[in-house]
Amino acid sequence: MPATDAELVRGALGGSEAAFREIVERYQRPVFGVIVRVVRDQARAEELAQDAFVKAFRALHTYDSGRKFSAWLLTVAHHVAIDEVRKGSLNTVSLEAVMPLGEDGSSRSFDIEDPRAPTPAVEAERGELGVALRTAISRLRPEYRELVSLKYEQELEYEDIVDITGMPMGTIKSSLHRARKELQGQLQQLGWGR
Amino acid sequence: MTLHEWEQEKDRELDEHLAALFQSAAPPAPSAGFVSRTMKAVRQAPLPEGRHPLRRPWTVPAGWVALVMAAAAATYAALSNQGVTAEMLSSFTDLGVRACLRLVQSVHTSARVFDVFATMSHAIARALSTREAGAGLLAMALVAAGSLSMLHKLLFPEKESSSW
Repeated sequence: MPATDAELVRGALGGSEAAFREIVERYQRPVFGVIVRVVRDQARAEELAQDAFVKAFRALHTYDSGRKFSAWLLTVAHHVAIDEVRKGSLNTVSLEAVMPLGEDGSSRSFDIEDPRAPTPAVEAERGELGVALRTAISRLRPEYRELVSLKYEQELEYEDIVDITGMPMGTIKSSLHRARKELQGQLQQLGWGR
Repeated sequence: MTLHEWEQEKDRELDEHLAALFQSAAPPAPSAGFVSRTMKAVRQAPLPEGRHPLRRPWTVPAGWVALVMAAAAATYAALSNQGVTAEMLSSFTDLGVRACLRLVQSVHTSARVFDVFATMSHAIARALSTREAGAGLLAMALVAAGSLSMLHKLLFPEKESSSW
């Protein structure tokens, strides 16, 4: 049976490297996912994700066990990403080169057949869809990008997003409403609209 | 339905669609080795007062110690009892030589079998290169097929009648 987050935190505070390694393994994707959506640069996002884990480890004794650990850790990642935005050192090169706009104007289907089936065709489509989403998200405003990542990639509840970003619930809901519309428009341009 | 309700319904549908779309897409992931690099950075990070630094799991050094001790014990045993060591060495050598001989023998046998096939196929190819021999081989094949068919009818006559 895998250890709970609270057990891993206790272990890491006691000096267990294995416990903190498990935390990094468990949360590397969410932490990286949130940061890469904001900074839009794979290499820089990895550096920042690493920073986020270092900061989280250094501040681990301040973690309140009454709070959800994932939300606490993503709050650290959020602050790391926001600091980077404030520094103004973001790479703002468009990602259109990664996923060119519809060359033949053809529109792909919005429905995915079976994402769980590990056939090469489905895998390829997942990859293409991932690139399209990355491109579409990269064209949103930074605050929308992060909210979209938290809501749809990390599948967090609104309460957790409030906890992580410190924004009021109403602001989050209205921002996500606008972000959805913008995202839909971007996906249509990329040939994934319905 | 009011305009507001209609908009809410549309937004809810879009929300569900996007959720499904994101679930179908490959999520972003850091490159290989991210965990190791991060752990290295974490180990080097200065810690606040009163915090325990990370220590490696005891199993890794313990495994190395056990390995070194086992090697030392084996060396000591070999040096202290030369008779047993010589016997073990000779049996290992014997086993190795036998295995090598078996391998050589099987390779030789396989080569001879391949030789037979190669000779046969060479002869057939040469025979087929002349029109007369080709016709002869074809006639032989037809005769063989006819013979086999007749043999089959002779051996299983009741099966054929019963099936009708």
